[in-house]
Amino acid sequence: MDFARRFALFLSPLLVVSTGVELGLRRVETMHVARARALETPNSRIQILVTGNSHEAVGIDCPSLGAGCFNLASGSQGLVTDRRLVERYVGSFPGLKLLLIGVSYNSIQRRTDPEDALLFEYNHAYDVQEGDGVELPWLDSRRFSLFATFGAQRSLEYVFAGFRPRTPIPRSWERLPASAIVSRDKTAEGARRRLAMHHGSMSRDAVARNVRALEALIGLARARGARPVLLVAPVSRSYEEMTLPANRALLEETLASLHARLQVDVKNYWRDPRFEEADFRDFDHLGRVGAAKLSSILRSEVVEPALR
Amino acid sequence: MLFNSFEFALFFPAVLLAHFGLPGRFRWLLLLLASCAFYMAFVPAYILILALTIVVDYVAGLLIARAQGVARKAWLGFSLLANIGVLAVFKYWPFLYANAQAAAGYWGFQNPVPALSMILPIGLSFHTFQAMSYTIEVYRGAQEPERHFGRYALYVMYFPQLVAGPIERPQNLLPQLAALDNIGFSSERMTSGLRLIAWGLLKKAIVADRLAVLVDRTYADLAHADSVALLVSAYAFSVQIYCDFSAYSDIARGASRILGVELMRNFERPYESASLGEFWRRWHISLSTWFRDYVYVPLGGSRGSRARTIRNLLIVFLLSGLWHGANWTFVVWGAIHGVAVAVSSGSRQPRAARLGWRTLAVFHLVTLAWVFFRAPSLADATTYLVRLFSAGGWLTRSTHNLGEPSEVVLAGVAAYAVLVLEHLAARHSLVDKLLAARRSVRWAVYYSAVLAFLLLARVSHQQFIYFQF
Repeated sequence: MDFARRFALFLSPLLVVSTGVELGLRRVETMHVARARALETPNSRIQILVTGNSHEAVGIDCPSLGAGCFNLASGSQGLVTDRRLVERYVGSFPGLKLLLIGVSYNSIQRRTDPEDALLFEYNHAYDVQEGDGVELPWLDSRRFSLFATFGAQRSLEYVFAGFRPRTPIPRSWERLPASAIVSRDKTAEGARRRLAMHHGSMSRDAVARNVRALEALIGLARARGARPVLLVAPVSRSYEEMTLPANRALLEETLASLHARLQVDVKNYWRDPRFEEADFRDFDHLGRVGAAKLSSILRSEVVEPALR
Repeated sequence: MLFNSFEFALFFPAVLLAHFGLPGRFRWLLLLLASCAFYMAFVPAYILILALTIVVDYVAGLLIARAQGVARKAWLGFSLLANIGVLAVFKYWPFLYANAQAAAGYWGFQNPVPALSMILPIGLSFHTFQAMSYTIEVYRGAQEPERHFGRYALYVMYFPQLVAGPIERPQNLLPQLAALDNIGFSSERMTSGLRLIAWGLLKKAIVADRLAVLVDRTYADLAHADSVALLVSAYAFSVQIYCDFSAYSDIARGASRILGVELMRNFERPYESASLGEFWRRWHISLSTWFRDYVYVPLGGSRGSRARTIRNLLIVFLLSGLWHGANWTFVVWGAIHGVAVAVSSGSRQPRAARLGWRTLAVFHLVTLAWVFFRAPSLADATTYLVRLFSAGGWLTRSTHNLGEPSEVVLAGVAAYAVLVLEHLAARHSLVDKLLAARRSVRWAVYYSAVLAFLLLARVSHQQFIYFQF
């Protein structure tokens, strides 16, 4: 009993501190928590919903589209997560007319690692789970602890900031600030590393799962009377030259097949000559000027015909 | 179930409470059921393979003890064949198939080896070797056959050491399992075991898993890695594999000590060895002694001519390489060690426990050999070594992405701290000094360890490297 008493005494300060930190972290308004709250609020003004990863998050500037728009894309967000988010929140947008589904070079073959901390953060913020073969381990500390989800460094930053956000939360959800996601690295080494990262997360085994997610997104849009459009954002020439032809061909075949089977519109700006190196913030992300350019192109080629 | 997982953090206290809450006569059953649950947390169906070897070796043990002469030998042969057969099918078949396929392609004949697609059962080589050690010891008359089937099954399946050792001998483990009925709770065992577990977790989560990121990154992009990155990664892998595997052994020993069973020590600061022979007396001791007792000595050991000793050493190290994995990389790794140990076996052995240029030379040889151990193929290992000496980058900033500089520095400092602390702990009996210190000092040390774990540990489900064997 003496040991049990001493052990309990030893543990008690740790339990008090960790409980305090956990409760504090639950109050932190992260970008995802803030966005989830915005998504919960019904908004009939929104006519366009954008999904995708960082390419669409920083590459589509909603105000330039000329209609109420919510940019649901985010860094490293996969197609299956897009599907889960749209399933969960599409009801908040009764006036939805257009669903712009971002598809990148790496999206179709993107593998999802069930250990990815981002999945736990999404689970916490949006209460969504990937599913379709990727289940979060049910006994994982990150399911119960935000300290474990965020990691020590990020958690401590919140602690020392008085549990306030580390970076300002966007006031609108029309375009994420590029600085939050994308570097300014325009060196050849940076492009090679970025592509190596993309290739590291790609596998042919993941194609079927991602195509199912795309089909579901198309179905969800149509069930709401909205028009789905598959969108491939532009990348710089240097990035494009380093990509593998087999991967590019697979992406194009998949898009062509979806177009043929489901009569869905495909807007592919991958090699669009209207975009120059100066339009890019790094190798595969548009900068502010490039985002405005893509958005105004989309306005005339996609949005206006769809909303007419 | 990983030792560094949330599941284990719930599982082990539950087992512990039941272990000391139940009447002593049920403890073997509780530990056996807990071991089944522990193993089935990986791939449930593979418990059937374990069940098969357990039944075969249990029966073989009884029959060997009863038989005389040739029959005795035949039952031992049957048991060994069954165990090696399981290894051959589940571990070496894909290797055999791939090599037969390559040979068939080269000489233009039909591959006679059919393809089988199977996942390697976790820790297969460990529990198979432990099971073989039982029947061999019974055959030698050094161990009475275990008549209690449940206790024998627990000997093979005992969860703290089931998937990555230490590979126990029946003389050490079986009597302790038999004495479990009368073991009471001991706060000394508990604190000592918790200290071992904590040290293991720190090594695994702060050092090994951090270094793993750096090493994996380099091996994933060998074609672009420069010499600096390759050199850093080679050192990093040396420390990673030590911290990973010795962490597993520490946690296993700690958990088992709390339950009342003392497991053998598997590591003795191997990187302080002044010769390669000494390295193998300090690294993965339970496997080295297994090969010594069951292969090297029966082959004649060092009793014959020098040529015969060299032959025996080469056989042992080639087998040891193959034990680790069904790949030519492991064979080459074993061969490097075999040749180096054979060459140095004739020279005068240096005085132990002195750090100097010999220690440095052994460390570098071992580090170089780890390249073959870690590389996915011989071609990758060759690329690694060629680029290590030719890719340059010595005088310029390393352009290869080793990771965030702060992460690399943190991993390096943590790795150095672990090696120095282990050295100092052994030299200056730091644990004894800690135990003799005031409670406030002890608790300050323990709180620092908890804090270090919370702040520096990588939250990941990085498996222990030796699970794959």
